[in-house]
Amino acid sequence: MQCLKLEVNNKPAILERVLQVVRYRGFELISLQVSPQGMDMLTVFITVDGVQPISKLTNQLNKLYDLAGIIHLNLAQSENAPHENAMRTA
Amino acid sequence: MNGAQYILHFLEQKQVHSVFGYPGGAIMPLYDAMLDSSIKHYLARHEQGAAFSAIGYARSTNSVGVCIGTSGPGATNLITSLADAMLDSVPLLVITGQVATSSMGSDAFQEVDVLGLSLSVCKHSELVTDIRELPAALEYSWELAQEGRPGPILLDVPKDVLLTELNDTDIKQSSGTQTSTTSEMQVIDGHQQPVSEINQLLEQAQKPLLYVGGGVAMAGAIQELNDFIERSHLPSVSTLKGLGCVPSAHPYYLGMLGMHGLPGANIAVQECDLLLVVGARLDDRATGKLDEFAPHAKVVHVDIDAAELGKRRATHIAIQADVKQILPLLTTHQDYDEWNAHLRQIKAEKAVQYSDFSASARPDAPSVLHCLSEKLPKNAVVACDVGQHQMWVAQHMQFTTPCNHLTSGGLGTMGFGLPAAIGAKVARPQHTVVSVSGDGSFMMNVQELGTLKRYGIPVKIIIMDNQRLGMVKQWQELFHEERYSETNLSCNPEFCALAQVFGLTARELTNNNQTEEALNWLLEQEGAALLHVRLDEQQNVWPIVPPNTANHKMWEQPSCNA
Repeated sequence: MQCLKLEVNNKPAILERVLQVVRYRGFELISLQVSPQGMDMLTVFITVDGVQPISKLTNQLNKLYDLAGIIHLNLAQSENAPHENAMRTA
Repeated sequence: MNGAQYILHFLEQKQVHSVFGYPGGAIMPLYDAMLDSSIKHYLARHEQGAAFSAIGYARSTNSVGVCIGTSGPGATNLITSLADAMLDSVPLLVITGQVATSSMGSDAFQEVDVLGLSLSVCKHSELVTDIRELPAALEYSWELAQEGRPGPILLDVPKDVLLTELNDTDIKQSSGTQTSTTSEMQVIDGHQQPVSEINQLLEQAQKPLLYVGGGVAMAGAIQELNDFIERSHLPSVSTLKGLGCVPSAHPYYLGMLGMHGLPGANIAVQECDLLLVVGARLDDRATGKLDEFAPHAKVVHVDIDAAELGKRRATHIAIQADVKQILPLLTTHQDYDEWNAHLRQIKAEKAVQYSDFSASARPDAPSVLHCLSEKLPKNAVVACDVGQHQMWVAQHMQFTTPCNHLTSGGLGTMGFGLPAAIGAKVARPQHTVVSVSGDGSFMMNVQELGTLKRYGIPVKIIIMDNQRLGMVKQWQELFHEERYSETNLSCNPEFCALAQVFGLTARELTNNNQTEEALNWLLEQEGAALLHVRLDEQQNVWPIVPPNTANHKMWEQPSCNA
């Protein structure tokens, strides 16, 4: 499993866009957490599973116009920490 | 100025002279405003045709094509064309009317969730529900369609927004997308390696090969590519969309690779020790069985879209860049004489033999198209549909730029040819435009004959008629034990009579020995004209690489069919 932290514009359909890319590019969504960031942005944490390297997904997500930033959270470095902590402390 | 008038004002500012579309209820304010605009609107007879014409306009000029449709069925009819533009990286701006904001979400008449439908077939799409956001949305859509890897952008605009007055003081600036990245968040980018590493590989290589894709022409880098070939003496192959970047008569050029590629091109890829891929995405129709594709090669991949780098084939060097910037930096001191001599020999041995048209026989498709190619001026545009004739066009016609070869490469959409040809002729009225179709494909957007008639657009049409869905029939013959399921089209209408009803002049070509005379007739017609070529239904496209097979294991034409 891999975890990504996305910063996106809070525009209609932005979550659909993210999830559509995840599904179409062959990744399974394990968890999704969304929270507002300021007036116009959202922070989105997604945990995904897939046989392809995560770069195949991040490269496609990068092409979303309303995506402002993306971080690949390395779960391996925090194996002993609870999953949510890993996302929050990244 | 209301929203509708602003859209047209915006397009005028962008020097758009021609748009394609089809009116309807929700988009009526825009069509009303059009009566007072300088923009010429071409009414297609189906939204899919309108958008294919916009694609033909865009591809033949390397500029943005504009298409307009209404809500509901108008928008759903556009979906195939949007997908076509997405896969072939065509810059489009598509504007759809939507039901009024007060009705949205109520399953109103002709309401469909266009934004939702657009997500997987557009580079980007927006629903503009606030008139104040319209100017910025138009501006960044226009830029986004063209920047980086081009693609289609859809703006869905509700009817009441089209009718709302826009005050200068109300105009919102762009929402600042992609500029609000915080210091914590960075876009992942692992695709920058120095160009000098490519040059090192070129020095070390014994058998380098250039793999030219459609991105080269889109980047305006044909000159840079040919300059590189001249100074490096690298042999090259082309994808379907790259045809025309390298002159087909160039001594180091081997032609199109892939499923119906030329033997020399496919063999070169399989033997090379360095494959330099520029402006291409290593599509499955080009690579054949991926595990056995270019098995001895180190792969260098240069493309504007980082997501294509390493997507299907691991790379030794991947550079996300504009190929126009990279090609001038490439250099080598090697001469590769032995390698080029070897490839030249294969190319000569495998050269296609064309008919001299002396024998009385059914027309030979490759020879007809080769002859057409010789007769056409170099600046002529050829649009084609999808199937056997599409591959014959790619194999046997010669182009001086991909802008002159309009073909539905990624999506493979039957019905593409005629409307794309209309768009090209609107964009380049001074140039000859020929639409080469199959009998199956032609019927897919046959209603666009009405567009030819309405505007007197002098497109020349050739129907390569084998009374079959020829490519599917070929696969049934070769891979499905000759079990011909739903591919017999011997019930086709009389194409000449059909064309004449729409005001075209038309004639048949039934005998090989009349080929030259029939093609001369077609090209001499002043208005729109159609040549109905009656082929032998047994004629197939050769060579063919069977599915899940390496490209060098292509099947060549059986001698009994020669």
